[in-house]
Amino acid sequence: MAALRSSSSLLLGAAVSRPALRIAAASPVAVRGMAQLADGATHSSTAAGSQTGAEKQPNLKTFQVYRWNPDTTTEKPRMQSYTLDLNKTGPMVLDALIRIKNELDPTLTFRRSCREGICGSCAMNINGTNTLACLCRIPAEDKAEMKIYPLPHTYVVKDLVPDLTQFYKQYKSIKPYLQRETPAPDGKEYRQSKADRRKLDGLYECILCACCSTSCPSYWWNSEEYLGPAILLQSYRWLADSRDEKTAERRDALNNSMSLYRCHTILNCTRTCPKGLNPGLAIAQIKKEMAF
Amino acid sequence: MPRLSAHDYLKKRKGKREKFWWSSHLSGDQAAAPNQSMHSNCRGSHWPLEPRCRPCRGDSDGQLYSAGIIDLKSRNRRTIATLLVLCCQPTTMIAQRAGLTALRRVAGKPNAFFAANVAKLALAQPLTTSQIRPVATQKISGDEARALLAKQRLNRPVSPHLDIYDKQQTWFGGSAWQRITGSAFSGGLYVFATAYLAAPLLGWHLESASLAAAFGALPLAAKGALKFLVAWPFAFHAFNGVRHLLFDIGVGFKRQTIIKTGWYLWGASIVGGLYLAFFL
Repeated sequence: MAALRSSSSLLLGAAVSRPALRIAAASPVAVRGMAQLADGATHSSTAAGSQTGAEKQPNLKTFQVYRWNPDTTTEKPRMQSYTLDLNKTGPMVLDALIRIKNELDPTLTFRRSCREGICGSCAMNINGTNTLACLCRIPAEDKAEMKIYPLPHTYVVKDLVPDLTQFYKQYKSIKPYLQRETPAPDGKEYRQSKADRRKLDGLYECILCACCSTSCPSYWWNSEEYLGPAILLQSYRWLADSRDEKTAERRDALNNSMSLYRCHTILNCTRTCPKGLNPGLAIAQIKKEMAF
Repeated sequence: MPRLSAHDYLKKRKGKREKFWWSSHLSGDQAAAPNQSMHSNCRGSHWPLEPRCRPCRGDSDGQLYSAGIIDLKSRNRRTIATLLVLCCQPTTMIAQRAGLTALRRVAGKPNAFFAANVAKLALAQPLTTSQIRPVATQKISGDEARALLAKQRLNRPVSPHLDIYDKQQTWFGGSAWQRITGSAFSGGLYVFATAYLAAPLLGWHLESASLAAAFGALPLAAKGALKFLVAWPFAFHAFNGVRHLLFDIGVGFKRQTIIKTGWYLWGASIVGGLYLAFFL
């Protein structure tokens, strides 16, 4: 679990326990790294064999990870297996990925940042469902291999990193900001009632991780024009906002055969949302508002 | 040896170099960031694990540094093509900051190691800055960015989708089968109606009486199977149609409800289809 130790303890521990470390030779901060190899580490494909004297029986788990390297474009994407001892790994899939990157294969590429489900960076397809790696537990009792893919039907930049350019472009296209002509009555802030504010609950929490959009078969086939559940949820967030004055324009922008109505209520979006939100319901609300 | 607080240490450093590399980086002044290389023989351009590069493995005491996370997920919409320069020396901003945070913590309490080396820490600063290799960015116009993206996409594979996604949600999705069954019925209607129209011309016998006679001549199992072939899609389409009407008025969107009704739908349509096929 060396990789999971905090930075300061790593620095102090390394500095105190290794008198050979000369500050003049390396920079003072050189002690700290993002990754650390185990002593005498070899780049084998398993991290479990090196610690044989462990008191616990190793609890091995194999992870199959999608690999594709843009530097070798002639090679096809492939699945690579990594085996970890779960006794030495954190509980979440992201912990396993970080450990693989730290100890087995530093070329493995994925996005991650907050490790607590608030940034949306580590969205990927784990065992067939899109979710955030940091919020997805490794099923410890289940010995089956875990399969990890990038978000489905996206252009792959490298390994588990999808190209979300189109997704962000679509987000920009719905003008995700308050649009108002009239000034605030008190000249200070745009107030709303508690009931109006409550309408935004379940909408504003979206972190735009793109799990729902890339789970939607309709979005797979029509991502050029169909906005997809995440962006439509955000659309509804602004349609439902009592302070916004461009509701009619926003509806007009959605009133065509592609932007909104490519949603066929498949509802993979609601089933996959790692934040427990309900994009399917939001889209249904938009459709209802447009109809009546 | 006089204790030097971390604050004094930082101030002292600041006097020698006008700016920390990250402060200049954050202020947008890219040129001010020192960009010289320690790696005389490798230029630091290879992956950190390259065994031949001695300076990369040497003083970092068995530690590996990689800045391999390519983050194109920048939420600002500036079209900057970011080239991450990979380096095996501890040059990431995080590493620097974390190190300094730790230094400040150490400065707060007596620590033999730190007190003994504080002068060296202060004196060794040219080494610190000379190891920095920040992210190099290049500003390109929107058109260039689009052209670059299009070029990159020619090479990029599309990640797997139908093959790997949860089978219950793709292959057994109610919505997809609603369309399949609906298409089959409407397509069948068109085919039969057209054939019925053309039957007198082509000499086919598609009248109700001859169809009923042909059907009556079949064995019971074949009758049931043929009827089930029509009855199951009908039952499925009917049940799922009601489900989708409920969806349209905003009912049944809870996650567990979606999963449950999805399975109920298959059960009910098969049972209903069997009933229509064999008992009706």
